[in-house]
Amino acid sequence: MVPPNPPQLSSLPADQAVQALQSIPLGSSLGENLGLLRQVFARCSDLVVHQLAPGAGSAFAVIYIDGLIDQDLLDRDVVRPLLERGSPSAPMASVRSLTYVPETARVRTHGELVQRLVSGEAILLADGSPEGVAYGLQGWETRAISEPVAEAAIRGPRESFVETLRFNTAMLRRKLKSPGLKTEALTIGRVTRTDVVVAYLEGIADPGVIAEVHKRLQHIEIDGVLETGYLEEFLEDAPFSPFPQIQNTERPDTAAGQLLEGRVAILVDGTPVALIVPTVFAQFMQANEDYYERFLIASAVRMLRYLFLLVALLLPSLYVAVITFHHEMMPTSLLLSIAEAREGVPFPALVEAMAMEVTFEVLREAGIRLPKPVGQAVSIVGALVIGEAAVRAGLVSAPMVIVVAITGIASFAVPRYNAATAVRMLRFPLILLAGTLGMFGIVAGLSGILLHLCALRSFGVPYLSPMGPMDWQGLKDVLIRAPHWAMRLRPRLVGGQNRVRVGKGLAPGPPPRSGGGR
Amino acid sequence: MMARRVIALVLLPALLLAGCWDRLEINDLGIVTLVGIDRAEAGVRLTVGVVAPTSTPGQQEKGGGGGKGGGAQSGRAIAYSAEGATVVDAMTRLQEKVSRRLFWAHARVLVFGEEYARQGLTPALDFWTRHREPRLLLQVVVTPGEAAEFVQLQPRLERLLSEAVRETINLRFQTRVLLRDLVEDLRDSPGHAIAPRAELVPGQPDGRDVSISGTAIFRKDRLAGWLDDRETRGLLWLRNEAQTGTMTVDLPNVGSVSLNVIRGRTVVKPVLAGGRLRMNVALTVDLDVVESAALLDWSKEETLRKVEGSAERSLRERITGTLQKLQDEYGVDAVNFSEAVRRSLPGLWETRWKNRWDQVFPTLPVDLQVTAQIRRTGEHSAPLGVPENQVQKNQQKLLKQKE
Repeated sequence: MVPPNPPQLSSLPADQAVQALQSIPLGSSLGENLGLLRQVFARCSDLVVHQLAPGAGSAFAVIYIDGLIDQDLLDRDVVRPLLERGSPSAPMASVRSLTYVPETARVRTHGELVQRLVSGEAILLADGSPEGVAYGLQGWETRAISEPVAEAAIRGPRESFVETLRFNTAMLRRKLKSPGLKTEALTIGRVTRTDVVVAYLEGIADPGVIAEVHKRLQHIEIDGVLETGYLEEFLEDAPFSPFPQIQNTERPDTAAGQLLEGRVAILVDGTPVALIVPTVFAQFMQANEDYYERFLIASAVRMLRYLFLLVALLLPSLYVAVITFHHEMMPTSLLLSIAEAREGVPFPALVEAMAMEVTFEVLREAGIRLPKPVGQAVSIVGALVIGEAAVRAGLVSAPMVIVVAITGIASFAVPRYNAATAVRMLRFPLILLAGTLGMFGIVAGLSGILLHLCALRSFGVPYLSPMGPMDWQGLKDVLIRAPHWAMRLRPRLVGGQNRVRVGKGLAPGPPPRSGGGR
Repeated sequence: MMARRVIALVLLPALLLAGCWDRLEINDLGIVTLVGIDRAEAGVRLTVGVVAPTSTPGQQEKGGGGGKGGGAQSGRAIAYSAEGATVVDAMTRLQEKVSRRLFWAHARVLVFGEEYARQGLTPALDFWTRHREPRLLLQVVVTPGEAAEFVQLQPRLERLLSEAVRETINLRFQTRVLLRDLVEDLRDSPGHAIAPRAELVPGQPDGRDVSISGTAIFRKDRLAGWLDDRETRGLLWLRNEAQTGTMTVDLPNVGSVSLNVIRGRTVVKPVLAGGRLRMNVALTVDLDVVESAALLDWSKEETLRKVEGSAERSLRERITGTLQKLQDEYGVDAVNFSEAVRRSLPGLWETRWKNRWDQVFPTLPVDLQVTAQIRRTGEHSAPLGVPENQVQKNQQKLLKQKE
C-alpha cells in the first residue's frame, strides 16, 4: 500500500485527480487516510476534519465540507452517540448501528471518499478500519420557492422551480402522484458533477424519445453544466436554427402539463429552469394560463397572439415595402398623411426602420440588465428621445415610431420569451429584404422561414405538427384552446403511446328535467 | 457540399443587385390626384393637380385664399399644365416642370374639358387603361369650359379638389361614372356614354365652388349635350341608380311636401307586342315624409294616398321629360335600354336591333308605371304649433282635389 506521490497528485487537473484516487483503497490507519485527504484538499478552507477520541485508543474522524452539512443533525445523530457510547475496539459494523442516520453508505476508496465529500455527505473514518461510513446529511441554505418571474400568470399556481433539484422533482411528484412518473438521474460535467434528472410519465411518453434523450445526454462531455442552456445546445436537432427547438419553463405546472401530454422534462440541479422535449412551434404560443382560463377567452387570446406574432414579424417590413415600392397599395388619404409625415426626413425608409428597430432592441436590452431604479431612467430617456425629440427634429417620421412601437409590444404578446426573441431577430432580415426587393422580398423571406420551419424537427417530431403533418385532434390546441372535455386525445406525434386523456361525452349541460315538478 | 455553399454565397449578393430598381421614397413622389384634359393646338393639354406635402407637421393652413395659380399652399394640390401630341407626350413635358416623379396610381378624378369632349374621348382614354399606374376606378367628369381652369380650383372644405369631387359624386345624388364604366359603355353597342357634369359656380365670399349637377350625354365618344339637374334625376330613375335623394311634391292650394327617397327600384322589361318592341318600365319607390309645409294630418290614410298619388305623377313627369329629351333631342340611349333588350331578347337583339339601335331608340314606345309608397311620416302626424281647424281645412282641400 503505497500512497501516491503528493506533488504528482496535486499537479493533475481536478477531475483527473479524482480519477486517480478512485483506485486507491482506504488504509487502516486513520492518520494516513487523513494525510492523503489533506493533500487532496490542500488550500480548501471549507474542509472540516473533526477528530474524536471517545475512549483511550479509539480514534474517529468526522469529515465534511462546511456549509453543505446539516450541522445540528450531524451533532445529534452521529457525533453525540459516538462520544457517548463508542467503545475503543468497536468494529466499523457496530459503529454504523450506533448512529441514527438512515442514509448511509460504505466508503472503500479515496476516490469515493472525495466524491461523497464534495457532494455534501459527511464521512466517518475510524482508526483501524479500511472502510468509512458516508452519511447523507446534506443541508444548505436554499432559496425558498417563489413566484415565477418570467412566466407570470393571473390565474394558476404561484410556485416556480428553484435551484435545488430535489425540490423540483418533489414539486413534479406532488402534481403527478403516480409511480409512472419516472425520474432517472444522471451526472453530467467533469468538474461540476451536476445532477440531471430526466422525468417522464411511463406509458405516455414515447420510449423512442426517452431513449434519444438518454443517448444525447450521455453523449455530452463537458467540464461544467451551470444551467439548462448548456444542455439545450447539445440536445437541439438544428443548432443553427433561429427557432428554439426545446421549450424551457420555470413553472412546475407547465412542466407537469407537458409530461401529461407525453413529453420529457430535463431538470438540472442549480437552475430553476427545466427543459421540455420534444417541442413544437405551437407550444410557443401556448401560455399555461390558457388552460386555466375559460376556453372561449383562452381561444380568443390565443388567436390574438397569432395575429400579433405576424405583426411582430412583418409590420416594419410591410411598412417599408409599401412606402418604398408599392405606393399604390395604400388608400390615398393614408398615403398623403404618411407623405406629409415623411416630408423632410433625411433617410430612406429602410435606414429609418433599421435604425429605429435597433434602437428599440438596445432599449430593451439595456432595460433588462440595469438595476431597477436606473432602468426606469433609461426607459424614460429612451421614450422621450426617440418618441418625441427625433420626430420633432424631423429625423424620424411619426408613423415609423408608431410602427416600431406596435411591433415591439406585439413581440411581447408571444408567451415564450425565447420564441419572441427569435421572431424579433428575424424581422431584421425581413426589413432588409423589404427595403431592397419590396413585397417580393418579404414573400421570399417568409417562404424561406416557412421552408425552414417545415424541415425542422425536435427529437424527431416535426416542428410544425400538428399543422405540419395534419392531426385534427392536435389542432384543438393550436389556434384555439378547445374545452378540456373536448380535447380527448393527446397529440399524436408526442403522446401516441396512450392517446386517450379525457373520457367520451363529458360535455356538461343543464341537468335533465325531472318529470312533473318545476 | 462546400462547393455548393461557396456558390450560394457568391449568388446571394446577386439578389441584392437585382433589388432597389423600383425603389422610390415616398417624399420623391409627386402624387397626382386630379387630371384635366383639354384640347390644344398640339393635341392635348394635360393639367394635373399634384399634392404639395407639408414640410413639418403643424405648419399647415397658413394664409388662406384659394383661387388661381394654386400657390404653394401646404397640403394642397398645385396645378401644373403641359401640352403634347398625345397624353404621354404631354406628360413627359409636364414631368420636366415638376421636381418629383409624377405618380398616377392615386389619381382619383379625370376631368374632360367640354371642347375636348365634343371632339371625342377615345384618343385620351387609351393611356389611362393601358398604363399600369392609373386605376380603372378613376371618376370621370366633364366640365363645361376648360378642364385646366377646373383643376386649379382650391376647394374650401376639402383639402383636395379630387376629394371634393369624389365625395360629392359618391353621395349619389348625381350619376357616377368610373373610367371602367365609361370604357365598357363605349365598347358595347350602341356605344354611347354618359358622365357627370362638374362645374365651377360662384361661392362665398369671393371664391368658387365645384358643383356636380347634370349629366353629359355622349354620342359614341363625342359629347352630344347635357341633361340638367332635374333631367338627371329622371335618368337615374330610369337607370335604376337612384339610391337616395329627396323630392318635393307640390299640392296645389295646400302647399308642398318634401319626401326622402328611402329606396327605389326600376325594372326595365322589353316586350315584343305584335312584332314591335316596347319597353315596360316599372318603378317602385319608398318614401319618407321629412317636411310638410302643407299642414296635413298624416295619421289619415287618405292623406297618404293623395300625396303618394302626387308623388307618382311628379316622378312620371320627370322621367317622361328625360326620356323625351333623350329620344327626341339627342337620340342617344343613355338609359341603357339596349342592355335590357340584349339580355332578355338576345337572339333578336343580334339580328334585328344591334346595328340599328340608334334608329330604333328615338321612336321606342315606353310604358311607365310608377308606384310610390310612404313608409314613415316622421316624428309626429299632425303638425305641431298649428291650430287644429287649420289642419282640418287643409285636409278638406286636399281631399277635394281630383286625381
